[in-house]
Amino acid sequence: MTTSSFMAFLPELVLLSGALVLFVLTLGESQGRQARIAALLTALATVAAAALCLGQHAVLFSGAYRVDAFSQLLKLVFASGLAFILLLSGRLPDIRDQIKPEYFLFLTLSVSGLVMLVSCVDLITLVIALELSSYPLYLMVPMRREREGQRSQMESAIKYVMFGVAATGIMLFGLSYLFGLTGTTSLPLLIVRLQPVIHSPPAVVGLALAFCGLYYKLAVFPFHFWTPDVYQGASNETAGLIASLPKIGAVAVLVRFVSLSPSDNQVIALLLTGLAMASMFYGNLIALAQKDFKRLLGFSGIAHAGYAVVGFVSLSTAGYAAALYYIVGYMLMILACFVVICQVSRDGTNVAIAELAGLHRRSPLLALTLVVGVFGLAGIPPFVGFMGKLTLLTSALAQGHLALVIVAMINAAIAIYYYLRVVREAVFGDPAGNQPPIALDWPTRMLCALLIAAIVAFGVAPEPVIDALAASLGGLNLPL
Amino acid sequence: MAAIFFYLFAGLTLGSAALVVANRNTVNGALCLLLSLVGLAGLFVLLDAYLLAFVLLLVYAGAVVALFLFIIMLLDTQPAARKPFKPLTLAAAGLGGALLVMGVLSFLTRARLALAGPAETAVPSLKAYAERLFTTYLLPVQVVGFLLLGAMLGVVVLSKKLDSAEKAR
Repeated sequence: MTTSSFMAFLPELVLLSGALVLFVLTLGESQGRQARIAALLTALATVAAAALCLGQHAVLFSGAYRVDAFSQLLKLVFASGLAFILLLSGRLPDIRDQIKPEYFLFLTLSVSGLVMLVSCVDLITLVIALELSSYPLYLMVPMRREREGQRSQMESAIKYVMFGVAATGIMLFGLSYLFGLTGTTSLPLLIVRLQPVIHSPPAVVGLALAFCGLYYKLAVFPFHFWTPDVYQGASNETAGLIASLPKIGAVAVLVRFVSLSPSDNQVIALLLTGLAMASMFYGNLIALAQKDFKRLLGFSGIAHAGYAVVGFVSLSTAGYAAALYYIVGYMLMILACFVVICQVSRDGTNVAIAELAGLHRRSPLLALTLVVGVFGLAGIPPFVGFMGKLTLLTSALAQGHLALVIVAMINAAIAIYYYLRVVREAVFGDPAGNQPPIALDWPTRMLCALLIAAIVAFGVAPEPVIDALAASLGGLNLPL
Repeated sequence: MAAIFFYLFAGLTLGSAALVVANRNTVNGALCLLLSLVGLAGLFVLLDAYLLAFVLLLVYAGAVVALFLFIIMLLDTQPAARKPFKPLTLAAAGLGGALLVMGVLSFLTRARLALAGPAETAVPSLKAYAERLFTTYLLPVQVVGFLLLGAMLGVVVLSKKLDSAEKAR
């Protein structure tokens, strides 16, 4: 390997070496603390490596792996996301001490799968990277401690695996159509060879089926069934991971796939419109009736996946950049909510919305984090959620999808009700009985401050981010 | 001659695949799956894809079906009484089947397949496969290593009796 290709592959190498160190730690007696420090150091080193390699351009492994502005930008996002999640999972009260090193190993492996996913331009490499990001998650869900009369983690793990396997199977079936039509698994070649037949039924069916594996990761309407159960059944920290990073990976790959079809493909646009509308209505309407905070976030996640798909309907670079910007903002906002969940629940149990009552007395910083996160999700300015929705709807309107924009606006209005219910409990409610104040350790304080700052900064000054994303999308499928 | 073999193998594949679904004894079902895979391997041989046929027999017939049989015998399930289908299930199955038939029909009538020619590896020799495996697909091979490491550790973690170990402390 030459020096330049070594530099281009540096973030992945750092992450995988970290995973190997964690593997060694799993071999000894329970070393949860050391494992967390090792994972955190790996995450920080990956952030540094990804920042260092931002400008890299290379094609590795005989054209199967492409390092460009798009992939490097997202690798930085994933590395920071990993650091956030490790700061979040400090005590891990719901994971037994003996298996904490394994937990951190799976976490690191899953993120390394995502990091590789965004660089893959070969269908086989892409599917393998997608699986590397999924399998550790399947394992992390049932690692939650069993309680009296609660085995929901097993049920949700089985649901997660079954839906995941089925979605991957459907995706592979669609990819086999694309391969059969073009005789290649390399995406840049596939684009060229698919152009003459792009409007024929096999190509449309192949593309539509290939999207399915990504809909599952993103929790878009017909593949959403696992979402609320897994959020509820998995431990709080695991749910925080599942809710945030894989969705960015799914949107990134969806960008690569959707850009295979030309911007005048009405069938694909119609399909995406239908899915976006169904996801938004389904998620928002059912979220209205939820009492468990994680379950509520699960249903709201389905609705937000619908918003992200709105960006793809326009089949334009502006739309893809808006979808990426939105989902990165969503990661920050959902992590802010999960920090609060993890801290409010001292022994790792699920948190009902009523338990948030009087949070402003118990911990003002947590209450502020929650308010910023939830207002962001509701789409209230000046937070990132508002700017994200605005750019998404602008891109859809530019291509004349007026009905979709109106439906999205109606849904944003519905969603405000249940988000404000959470805020009302936290800010205006009185704590039941004499709940003790919540003491925060310094990593949590730092994480809260970082998330609040990022949500506000991304919302106030979105232009540099969107411009960087749009610029990186420009050379997405061009030959290097 | 080749046509006769094609229909023979295709009949074997489809017939035993139908028996997998229809059979009420799970062991017989698994063995029918084995037969179906043999038929599929025969079809691959007819297409000159000898390596693929061999790998299919080795991995699927040899390992996967053996694993199925192992689990079935471990669980020792009795064939249960046949329950009538729910109307909703029947409606969904009917709808799905109708969609499939419509899809296949539209493929037959409307699609003009401008095939881009055969796949790049025209000669599917072992050497060509190996070369691909060590160049284009080097990364997936390495990543699968990490995947298997994770899967192995996952099995250990999930099957360990952690409660008793915790109580013993």
